[in-house]
Amino acid sequence: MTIKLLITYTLCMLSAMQLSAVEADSAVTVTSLKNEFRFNWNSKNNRVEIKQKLNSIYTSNAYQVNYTVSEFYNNNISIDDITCKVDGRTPRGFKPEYTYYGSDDIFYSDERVCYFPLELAKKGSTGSVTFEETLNDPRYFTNIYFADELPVQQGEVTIEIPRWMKLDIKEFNFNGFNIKKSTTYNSNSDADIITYIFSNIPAMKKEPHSPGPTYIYPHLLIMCKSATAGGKQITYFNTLADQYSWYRELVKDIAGDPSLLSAKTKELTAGLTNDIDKIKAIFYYVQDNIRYIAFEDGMAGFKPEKADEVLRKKYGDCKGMANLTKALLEAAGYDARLCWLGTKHLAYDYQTPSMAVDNHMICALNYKGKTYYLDATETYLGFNEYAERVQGRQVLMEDGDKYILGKIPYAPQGQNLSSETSKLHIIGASLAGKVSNVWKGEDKEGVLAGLNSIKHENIEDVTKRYLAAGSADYVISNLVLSSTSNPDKDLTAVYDVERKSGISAFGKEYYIDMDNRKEFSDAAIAIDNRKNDYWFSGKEHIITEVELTLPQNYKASSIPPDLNISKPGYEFRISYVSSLGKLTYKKTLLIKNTLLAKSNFAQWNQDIELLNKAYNENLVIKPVSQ
Amino acid sequence: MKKSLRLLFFFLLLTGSASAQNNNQTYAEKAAEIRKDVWGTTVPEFAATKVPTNLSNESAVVFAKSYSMQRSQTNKFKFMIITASSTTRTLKLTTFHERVKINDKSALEDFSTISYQKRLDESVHILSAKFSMTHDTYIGAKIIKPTGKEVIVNTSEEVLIKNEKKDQVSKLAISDLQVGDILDYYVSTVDVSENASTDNFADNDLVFVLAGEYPVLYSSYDFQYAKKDIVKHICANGAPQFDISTNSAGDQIYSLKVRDQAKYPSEFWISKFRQFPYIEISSSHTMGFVKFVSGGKAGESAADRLQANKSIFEASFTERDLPYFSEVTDRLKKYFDGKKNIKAAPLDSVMKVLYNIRKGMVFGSYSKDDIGKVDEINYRHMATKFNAIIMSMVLNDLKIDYDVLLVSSRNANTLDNIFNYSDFDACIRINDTKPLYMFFDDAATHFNEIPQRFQGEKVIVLTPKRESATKYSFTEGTAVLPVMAASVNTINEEIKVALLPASMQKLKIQRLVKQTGSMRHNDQLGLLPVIDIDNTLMELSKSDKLEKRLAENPETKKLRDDFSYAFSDDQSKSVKKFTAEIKAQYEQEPTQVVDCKIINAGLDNSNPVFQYSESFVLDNLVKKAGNNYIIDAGKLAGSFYKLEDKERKRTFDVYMPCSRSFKYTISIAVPPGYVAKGLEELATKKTNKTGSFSSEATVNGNMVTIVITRVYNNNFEKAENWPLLTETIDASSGFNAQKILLEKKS
Repeated sequence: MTIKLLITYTLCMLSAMQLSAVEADSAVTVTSLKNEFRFNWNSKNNRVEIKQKLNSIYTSNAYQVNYTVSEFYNNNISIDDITCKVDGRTPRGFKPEYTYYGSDDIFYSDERVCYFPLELAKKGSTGSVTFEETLNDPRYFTNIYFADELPVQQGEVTIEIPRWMKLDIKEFNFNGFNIKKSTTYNSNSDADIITYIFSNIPAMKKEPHSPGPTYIYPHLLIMCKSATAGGKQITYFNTLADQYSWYRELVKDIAGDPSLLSAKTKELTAGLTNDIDKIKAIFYYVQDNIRYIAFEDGMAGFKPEKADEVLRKKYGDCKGMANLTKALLEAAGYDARLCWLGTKHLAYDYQTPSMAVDNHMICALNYKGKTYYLDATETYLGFNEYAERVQGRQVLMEDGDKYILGKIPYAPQGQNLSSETSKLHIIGASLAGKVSNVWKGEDKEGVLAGLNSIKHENIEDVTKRYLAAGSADYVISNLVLSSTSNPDKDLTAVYDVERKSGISAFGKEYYIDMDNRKEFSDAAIAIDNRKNDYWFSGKEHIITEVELTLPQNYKASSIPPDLNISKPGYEFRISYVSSLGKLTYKKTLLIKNTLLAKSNFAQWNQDIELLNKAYNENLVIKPVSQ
Repeated sequence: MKKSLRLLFFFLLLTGSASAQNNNQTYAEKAAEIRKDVWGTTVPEFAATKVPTNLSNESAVVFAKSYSMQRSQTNKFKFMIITASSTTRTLKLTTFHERVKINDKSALEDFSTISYQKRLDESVHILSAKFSMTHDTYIGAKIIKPTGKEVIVNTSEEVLIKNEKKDQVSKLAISDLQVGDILDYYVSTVDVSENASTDNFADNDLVFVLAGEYPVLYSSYDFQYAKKDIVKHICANGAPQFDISTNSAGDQIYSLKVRDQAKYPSEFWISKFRQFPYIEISSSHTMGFVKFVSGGKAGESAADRLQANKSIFEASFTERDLPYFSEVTDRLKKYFDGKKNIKAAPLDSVMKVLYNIRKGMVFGSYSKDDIGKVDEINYRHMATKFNAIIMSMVLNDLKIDYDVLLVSSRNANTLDNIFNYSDFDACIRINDTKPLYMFFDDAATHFNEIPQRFQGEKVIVLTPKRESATKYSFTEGTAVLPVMAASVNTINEEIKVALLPASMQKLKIQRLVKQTGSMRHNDQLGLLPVIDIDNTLMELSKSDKLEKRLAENPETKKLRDDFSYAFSDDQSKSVKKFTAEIKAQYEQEPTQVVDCKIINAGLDNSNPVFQYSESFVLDNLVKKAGNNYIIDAGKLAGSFYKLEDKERKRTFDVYMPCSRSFKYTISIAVPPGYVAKGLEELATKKTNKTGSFSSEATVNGNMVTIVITRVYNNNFEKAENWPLLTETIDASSGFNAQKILLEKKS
């Protein structure tokens, strides 16, 4: 993922939490937040700037609180001054630290962080911190958030907009919050002053499987359109065409040496005659051979690396990988384009021209009237398969000096599949037999990513452990795993199994637990603790079928009831089917809609309880004579 | 006169500056020089390209790796305006060079990026003199493609993740590296130090365990020290010996070559520094003390090293430096209301009080920083050597017959392989009719309790004799610390189980846990609130209450409210701590956790059993089958470790934490209208010399009682006994699968 400003907010939030010595909602409250933004014409530099004054008053709810205040900046935002007063006095030896921001996910970022400890010795101590900053390009002025990593008791955001500055402001996620807006006119500065006053905004809370912050927290999306200042007219992103035009400048001359690309294309497609085979050969080469490394480096955060450089280095970020895919396809004579898009993580689309609306780049291929979207960062996803994070997302596709707004299709429910079919019989006190597994789409991608992250020599052990769902009593032998290097084929595993824990004998009766995996058994949501909707990682289609051959002269004496839960977003179905001398357990679990809204949590938990109840029902078989 | 001095100073500065200029290679020039040195030297092993057949399935194979280190010193004269002094400038050059075949994406990920401190300048200016302390790193990498083509990696593609004038940190993504390639890379460092305080054995210490993540076909270790450096080294646990020589300049050269180094086995119950070969080497140019105390033989043998470290310890027995030892004696007198009563009391009682007083003094002291990290307070440890010396002085004062014991942890080096002063601990042995031990360890350690990591260890027995306030003399012997029997380290649980009437697939569990010996420390420190430990330790030593102690300490006297708030906040987290303990035991999240009680803190050896109880509900342990219910009875005592097939063969001896025994008594209330079946399947008995496992179920009225015992007799087993040990492990994990049926009466 790229495009640094778009993730800056997230980085700020996450890293601030890492730096903080206290839990977000425990020991400190922002009792007053006052953020002022003022547009200013800098005649010396001949540009419009945004002067920011960000003041927070922190109040301690405990003793000896050591809270780390942090503020991010980069090449476009400078921190001009910092003041800090604790109980009215500047702390002794107050010295903010400035450093580069680092994280495990990003190889390099030019984001920098300024931080310092705020030591609040007593309960009720207050610390007043003010950052004065300058943002040097209105294009980068994209969001104003009202929430903080700490709870905010009272807040005020003021934006002073001279009438020579044209911009749009869009409000997001105001529902349920006490936010009041007012506008006044200041004739001295010929400026409109927009003020938002708010109170009791809860602390941001990072939750797993949560929608991105743009969906959750009250904030403003700022769209700077144009300015008439210093005797000239400056256009920023007045329309999407302006934004595209700006992007277009960044992707000029990024193909690199055509002879190198052409030679590579020939090598990759040698012997292939079918177009789709050639396209796949190129796409899979980039997927498999270019390591994804995230760079967030100034303008380079928006400008893709040249294709021949990516090819030489064998690593790149999403832009570099998209650019190489495009360049190789073009070298092979196909119509390939770069596409900008915002992944599902972002609540925006291109109706609101802004650098905040996209965070990713892929390649589009127009072939015989159809557009295929190729995202080489999805290392193990096949051609014409789409990851959940990009499905249904709008794309800004290059088209010379114009652009095309496209949409990545939603993948059909069947794209992803995890299926397991077992044919078992009873031997002594165990269940034994053959099992076969098939994984498709994002399920296949997940398994392959796991397998490729472990050492070669451990693959069999780890695969067995995964197939056994962690059970030590699920003993696998004669495991045959299909090729892990053919993206076009499903991933399959076939093996013999001896299940010692799935069966109990009491007298001549057998009590049999037909399901070894029990997916979603721990999926109940802690409603009291969770603040946000739940987003599944992807659509799920899980099929389990266990055919049990009954011992001779045995019959099923108690068959658990079927389970049939069908909700708009998901389905859980379990049934037992009898046939001559056999009994088959059939389970289908579907996640059709990856969004589980908070309002549906209670229903979801009830259904998970029913699912667990079904999981905890055993089949009983006994001699026909009994 | 003033003028001439100023001129002389100016002249010297110019000279120094000119001299520095001569040595002022640019970074690029130095990098080129190092590259030529590393890749220009022909070592056949660094030209290898073929992986031996038996290693073809490895994730990566290291053809060759080398580590070289060169230290040299020069004396420099420093002017500080009106004074001058001589300082030693130490130059340290190191190079790590590795050639590795990448066989899969996992290894590719491991080797595809390098992070390094490119430059760090911590030089200090004192008056007009500069004392250098700099670090520079130079890296190089080349890739050998399967075709044999060599690609030199452009290291200027690095990115600086910290870029300050004196502090630069870099990251390099290795370009063009793919699975199937050979990566040949090096990392060289140049350190210059004029800071004598860092020239000591601890800071210069280098340890290499001769086993790693990947198999290594060839490795070499070369160290070059200046003629006058004092060098000490160790080649332990079967590591080959250094080849020691000198060059024409008299520099000392230590070299070692190893072939076919195996991978580090990922087995459990291993003591790395007892079982794997390793080398350790260190030096000091200025630190002559060790050489002095060891008669000029420092570093030449294990006995010399041990003697040198022991001498440092013995030299610390100076009452002048530790005058506050008398406070311990004063508190003892106060506790017994006079010396006369001390004499009248049994020795073991007096010693216990003495131990508790010292423990209370240490654990009852807090610093300002403790407020912000209350979670860590229970996990503090006493400084063993310091407290042994203090206690020794007190005992000497009281004329008690005692010894000081020096011992190494069984999780670290042996006593024979002591290298640094931190490699051993000290404790006290009171010579009564039976020996009584004082170990200075964690807050839960009892008087006369030997921490598990020291049990069975050989010790050096030092019998101190006070010669004067600044000198003690010692006579010396050896002994072996006892290993506590499994009956000393116990867990005894009474688990009452009932099916919830409203939801028969949920189990209501009431659990009473009793722990003794080594088995209680984890839960004690995890569950006991800080304030409870504080109160108990103070009661045991009749010491002041927290409020008073905080008031007497200048650092904490204004922080009484702060501590009070922090400690009550810790106390309020009790249910959370109990929930975490239950989750660890049953590997699932409990619900309805209530009645969490510490019944006995177990902090005193006269009442040594740590006891707590709790009540909670667990899902997923009951299956419905028609009208019947099946209970996973085997899981009610928690999960027992199940061996994997690859763990069944073992060549390494087994270092377990301690001998130990467990007893679980599980009472299951059979609901009205049901009858329990399958109890006979729960009967198991397995006993051998390493341990035992037994389980048995009985029914009495509507109550099924299952009794499980599990014993590991020793803390150590030879590898040849592993099959016997696995019998107990297998019997235990096999029990986890046991079930009982609650059948509806017809």
